[in-house]
Amino acid sequence: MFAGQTAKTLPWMPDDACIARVEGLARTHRAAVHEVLSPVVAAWHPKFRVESAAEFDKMIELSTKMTLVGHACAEVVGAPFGAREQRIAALYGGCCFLADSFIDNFGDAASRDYLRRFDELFLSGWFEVRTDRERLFYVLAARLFAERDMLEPMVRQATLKLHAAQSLDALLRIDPWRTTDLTATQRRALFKRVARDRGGHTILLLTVLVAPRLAPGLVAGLFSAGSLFMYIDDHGDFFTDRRDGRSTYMNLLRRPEPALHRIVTAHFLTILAKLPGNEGRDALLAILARYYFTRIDKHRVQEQGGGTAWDVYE
Amino acid sequence: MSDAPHMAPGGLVVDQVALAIQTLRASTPGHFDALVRIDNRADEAIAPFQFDAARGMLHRKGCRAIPVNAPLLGLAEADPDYMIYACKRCKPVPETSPETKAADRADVMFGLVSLVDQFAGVLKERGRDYRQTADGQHLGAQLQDVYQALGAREKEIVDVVIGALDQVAARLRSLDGGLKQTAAKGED
Repeated sequence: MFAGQTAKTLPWMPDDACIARVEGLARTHRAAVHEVLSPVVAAWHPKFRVESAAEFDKMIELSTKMTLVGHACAEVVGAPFGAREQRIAALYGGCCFLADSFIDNFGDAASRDYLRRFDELFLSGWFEVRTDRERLFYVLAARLFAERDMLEPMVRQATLKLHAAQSLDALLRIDPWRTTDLTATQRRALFKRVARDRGGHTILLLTVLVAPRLAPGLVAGLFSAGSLFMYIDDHGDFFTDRRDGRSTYMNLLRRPEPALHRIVTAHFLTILAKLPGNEGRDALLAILARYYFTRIDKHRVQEQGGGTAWDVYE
Repeated sequence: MSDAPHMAPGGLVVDQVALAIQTLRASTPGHFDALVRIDNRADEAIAPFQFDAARGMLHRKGCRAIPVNAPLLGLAEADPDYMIYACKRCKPVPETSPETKAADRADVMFGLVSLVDQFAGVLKERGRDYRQTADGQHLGAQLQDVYQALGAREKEIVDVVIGALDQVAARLRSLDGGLKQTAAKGED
């Protein structure tokens, strides 16, 4: 049983050995992520760790989660996960965290400008560095590009698909008029698809970064796992997202917790059907189960006492 | 923005190079087009196959069985691994990847020529200017230290690589010059 686990049952639950393995990997990867990211932050944006300590901690946690999931995905694919793959996953986590922060945290005008500049980065490779935070992002991205052939067709496509999903998510928040003509059902369907694609493409990109040969038979199971991470995440951030004026599929629902349980159950069944039974699949399901239970707690805590986007629930 | 750090062991030298490349466009506006294009949507748009990532099914492009808003990955070719996931309606057939095409090799060649043409002059100029600055002298000393710390075999490899790059650059510059002369004669 995980700490905070409710009586709800899932189609698959990890045994004690699997939970212990995942918790051990989380500790190892957290230390490795610190080793990869802290010196870069110290060199290129030292104030980030001092003046935005909570945000820095959140970046470490997100990158640890990314590394843990990357490890599980590599095992699913049957690829090795050594120091290089650990470094790639940590750098990818750092890039995702900072890119999200540019789009979400500096107002609508800045969001539009960053979306345009990311378009330019992917179209031409140019990114004019204007602030210390941008410099940190660019250095992490450059190190990631140096570790992996970013021109490999599947890496390029996964990068662009993720960017497109993130852009649509941001534009729906910035331009509410885009959904005013939709019925409530259509809006929920649109936001559900946005969450599916954001999470799905995030995990596909992570997988092709750490495990270059991705067999087609594994794509749907991994995509489903990535989407589930996003639904769980959005349920955990239900109240902070509403407070920040950000609509998500989860916070458009009147009774999100039972809906999430149905989604988790369906996705677990898909993952069990689509991915081969191995240590990687078990680790991925165990991480998802732990994430589900901790985010149910986060939702309840924030319902009662509020909270911030930087709160770490691990 | 605060100043760049002055300690530069290992990876930080690479960071400085990456950041320096980004300043090239600002220093010579209008000269540069693309540095590197990750965006391959144009290739994806003409790919004959589409793989539905949510359902794990391979379709021919435009198949009517593709669900609305499916997350699709474009595939220029589909090897036999994909066939067990083939849509029963549009029945895509495998296409084996041809060996490296002459056109691909020409693209690589033109890519090299364009890079040398685009960067060689400006990099040399900037390198000369940068060497005079305090940062440049500091970096130069560190590069010397890094080089001194290498073993004999590693030094040999670095020398061979740099020598080869230099020769490639010189050869490409002369080729590029020859091509331009031929083109100019053709226009006369």
